Amino acid sequence: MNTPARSSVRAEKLIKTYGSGRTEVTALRGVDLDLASGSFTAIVGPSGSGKSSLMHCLAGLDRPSSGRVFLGDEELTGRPDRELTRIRRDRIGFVFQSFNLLPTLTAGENIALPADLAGRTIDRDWFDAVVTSLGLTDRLRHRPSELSGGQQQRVAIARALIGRPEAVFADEPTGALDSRTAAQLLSFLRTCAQESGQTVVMVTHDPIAAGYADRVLVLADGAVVRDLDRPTTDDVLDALREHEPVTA
Amino acid sequence: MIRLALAELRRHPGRVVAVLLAVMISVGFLGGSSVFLATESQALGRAATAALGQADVVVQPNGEIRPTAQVLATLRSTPGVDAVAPRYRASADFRIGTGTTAPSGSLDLTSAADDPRFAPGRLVSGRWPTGPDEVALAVDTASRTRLGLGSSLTLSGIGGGARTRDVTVVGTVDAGRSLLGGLRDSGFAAPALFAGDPAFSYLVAARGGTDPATVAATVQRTLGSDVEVQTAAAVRADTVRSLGHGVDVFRIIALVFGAIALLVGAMIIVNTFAILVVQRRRQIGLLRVVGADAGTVRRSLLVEATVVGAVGALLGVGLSLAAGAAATAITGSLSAGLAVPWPTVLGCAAGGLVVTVLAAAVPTRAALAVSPLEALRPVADEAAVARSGRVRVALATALAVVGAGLVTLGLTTDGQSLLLAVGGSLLLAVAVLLLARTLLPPLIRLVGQVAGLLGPVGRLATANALRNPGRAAVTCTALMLAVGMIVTLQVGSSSVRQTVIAQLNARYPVDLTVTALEPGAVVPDRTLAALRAVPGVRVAVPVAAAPATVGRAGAPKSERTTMLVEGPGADAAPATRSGLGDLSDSAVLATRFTLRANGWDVGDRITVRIGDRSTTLPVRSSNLGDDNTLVVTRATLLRLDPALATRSGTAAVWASVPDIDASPGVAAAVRGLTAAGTGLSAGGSLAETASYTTLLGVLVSIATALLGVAVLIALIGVGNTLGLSVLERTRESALLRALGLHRRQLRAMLVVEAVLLALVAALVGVAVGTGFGWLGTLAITRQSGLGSAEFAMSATRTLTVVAVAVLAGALASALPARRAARATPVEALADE
Repeated sequence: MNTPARSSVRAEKLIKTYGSGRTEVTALRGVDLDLASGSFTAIVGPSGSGKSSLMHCLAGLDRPSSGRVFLGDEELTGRPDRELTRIRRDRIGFVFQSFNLLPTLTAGENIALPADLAGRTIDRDWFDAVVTSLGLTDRLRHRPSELSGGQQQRVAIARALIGRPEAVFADEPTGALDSRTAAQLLSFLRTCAQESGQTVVMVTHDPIAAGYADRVLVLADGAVVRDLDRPTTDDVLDALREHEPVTA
Repeated sequence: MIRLALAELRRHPGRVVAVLLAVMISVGFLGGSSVFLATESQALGRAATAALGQADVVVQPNGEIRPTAQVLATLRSTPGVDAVAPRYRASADFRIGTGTTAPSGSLDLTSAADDPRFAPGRLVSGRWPTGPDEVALAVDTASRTRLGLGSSLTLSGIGGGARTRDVTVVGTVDAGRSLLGGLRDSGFAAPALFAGDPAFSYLVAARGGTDPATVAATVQRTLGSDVEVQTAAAVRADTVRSLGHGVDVFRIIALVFGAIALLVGAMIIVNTFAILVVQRRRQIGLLRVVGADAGTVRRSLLVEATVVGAVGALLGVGLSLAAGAAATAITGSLSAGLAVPWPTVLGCAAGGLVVTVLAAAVPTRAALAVSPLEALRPVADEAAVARSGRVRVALATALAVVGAGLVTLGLTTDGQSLLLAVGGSLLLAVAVLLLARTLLPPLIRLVGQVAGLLGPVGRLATANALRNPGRAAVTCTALMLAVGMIVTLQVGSSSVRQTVIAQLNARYPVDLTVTALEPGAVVPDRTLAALRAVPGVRVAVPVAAAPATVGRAGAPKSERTTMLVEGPGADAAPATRSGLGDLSDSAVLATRFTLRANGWDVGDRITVRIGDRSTTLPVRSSNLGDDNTLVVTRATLLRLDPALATRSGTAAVWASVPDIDASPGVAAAVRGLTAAGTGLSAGGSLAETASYTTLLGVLVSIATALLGVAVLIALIGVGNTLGLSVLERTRESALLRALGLHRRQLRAMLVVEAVLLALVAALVGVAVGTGFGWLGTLAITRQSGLGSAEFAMSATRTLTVVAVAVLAGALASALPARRAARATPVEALADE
């Protein structure tokens, strides 16, 4: 593609504080970022760097204390909960580290959940395509308790993708997986970004996982300190070490 | 969202069992009491109907008694009248066989008539008595005395006279039964048995096609003001109404307890759904994240609540029918058919469903106020808890103020005292429950000081109990309610009983009197000895008494009547609560009833004549003495009948039965001692005290049994909550184990925590229950015009309730404690 990529996820001067008075904690100190559609971005940083807070704000799960968040052309900040919910349902997909699925529903029902909530009918062909590409065809009738960790994550991704969202946010998606399954998952995420034009944003502390991304943002103490383009795992490790909290 | 709701229900059906039970029992209680009361009323109606047969008009002599033949002739010749029959009534003592220990009792006799239209009941076996030596018994009397066709009895004292007659049982009759009417034995006899007595009433059958009201009016005109003429329908309605006053009291009591049951049910439903919402916090959060808006999630939860509520309500309807049928089977009214007031019962079911959904809506709102992200975090934000606290306290205070206001209004004004008091009490109860979260932690801390003596386990347990005041309040609330209800019931019933009996005691200064009826007769020594030996009789004092002719001074002979004159000495004091002070040598004492019955006014001079001695004294009103006896000082009596001083035996015995609980037993024994053939009759407050004690005892037992199930619900709720808190503390428990806490110490810690919470809940429940029981008594007393209320409370029963609650709390924690202790430290720490 030669035309400049459209901006899909954008943040302006994001500030997020928790608590008040003496217990006030600043998680984000004025973060600016601009993620193009079709990109696979990883956000890394030591614990306490604010990466989870950043993702929550970008995904419309939490409100920043100040600053603005955009999804495509629409601003997310300042919208009432009802509209945010609708946007989450129709235009955003989520994958978490664990607890992605409702234990009382089958895998198939879990995948169809956002559509059910929207009252939309699912395109059967698209459903089958996603399920097949994730290798879940014979697991659709099983409950989450009957699936392995890797299978559960795959079901979660299927659910995230089924609505063809503009953006997919993943919070430590490979944290609970063995290395082989993790590799498969990450390849799949990269394929989604490249082929479907979705914006995939992944928060991780694992440098190997970060190596799969096109772009890696290093967060430390609530601010973006490095912006790496197609880094290798070692590049990421170096960047992290640079910004490690100083030990006395 | 319905699919989601049903999926949740199918996966964890056990979690809603408590809600189901709560709804089922509340609806069952309210509905069951409606069914019970409706069936009782129907049986009462049938009994009242049975006595009148198919008569259309009832004529009741009012003033001067005219000869029966004359009245019959007049009635028969009245236009519109088809047939007439006189109805006689009399009481008689009966004895089967000989000897004072033979089964016996008192029989209410009604005359049977030749005309089947006036049959006073339905013949079950044998035939109606036709001659003066025959009698038919009511079915219940026959079964109680084990008499059957062909048995013989001796009747004596028929209609208060001296007649004695041996009769044979020729039939049994179903005259309808009910809780209130079935306490006396009844029988039926031919008119010949009542020979010479004036008719009690006349039954008239109207000619076909004529309006009974018209016939009644005609008869009234014809016979004048000496009679009271009513249509049979009006008489039935009056009878049911007057007997129904007793049923009204039951209805009020049932309403009060039903409201309480509903409140407990609602609280348990709120608690259970609060727990369910917490358990599914992460799922709800996930749904919100994935795109379900607040309305959708709330709808899903409410659908669950509706389904559970509907199932519970339906089961409750079934329970109503079963409970009502069982209760009326016990009282015997079921034989008249089960009356099911469907609108009321279905209304109760609908009410149960509505309460379930409303109760579920409360915690649902709270859950959805949280942002989706927060819901995914494991621990609730502390700030949020504090915020809701202020609103809660404000609401609770407002409710308390309004509730207290209503209660005060109810207790100080006349009119709907009970309704206002109950309404106000409910608001106060809700206020207390809302304040539980604020009140309980300091109390737990206080009681926890004692637990701290047990060492580190105790201290940890106390700290755990205090860590989440909301959770502690939830756990305690259900148990607090259950204990509170039971104590309210106990205190209320004891106090109501005490109040009623205080009234009786004021009216009857002597608990029990036994008097010899015939002139010259005495209470045999062996009867006196037997009376003294009855457990519950504290003292039985012989009182000098003799029959005398009494009448107003200067009045004609016709106004004179024979009455027993009693002259208690100072030795009668132990048997008398009060009234001895009224005695005076210059007056004669009579009860208000006696005065009214004889047409005397206070101050009238009454002549009392025994043999050829007489004295004339002014009459004064006093509660001392039975109806239709006079009381004078011993000296006055001895002046009239000097032989009394030397004669052995007395014609009257006064006894004291101070223990109310013993009264039913004493009453039964006295019935035996004063049966037919003994020539004795019993008086005083004992009979009424006994019947109140028995009635209230039955009511309390039934209500306690029903409340016992509510306690079971509360325990299920406690177990549920404890199980949840153990699950949430899995990692903590594992950490403690890793640090060196033994398995049994961990179990002990959880048990101590449960016992601590249960004890505090029970203590608060006792305190609150006593308060509400007292309020209820005050309100009932005011509503029924019983006078001043008295407080009564049984220490043993209350302590038992507390002990059971604490034990149950410990038991409820046993299962979760075992589960917690079973996990190895490493396993549990690895759990996400």
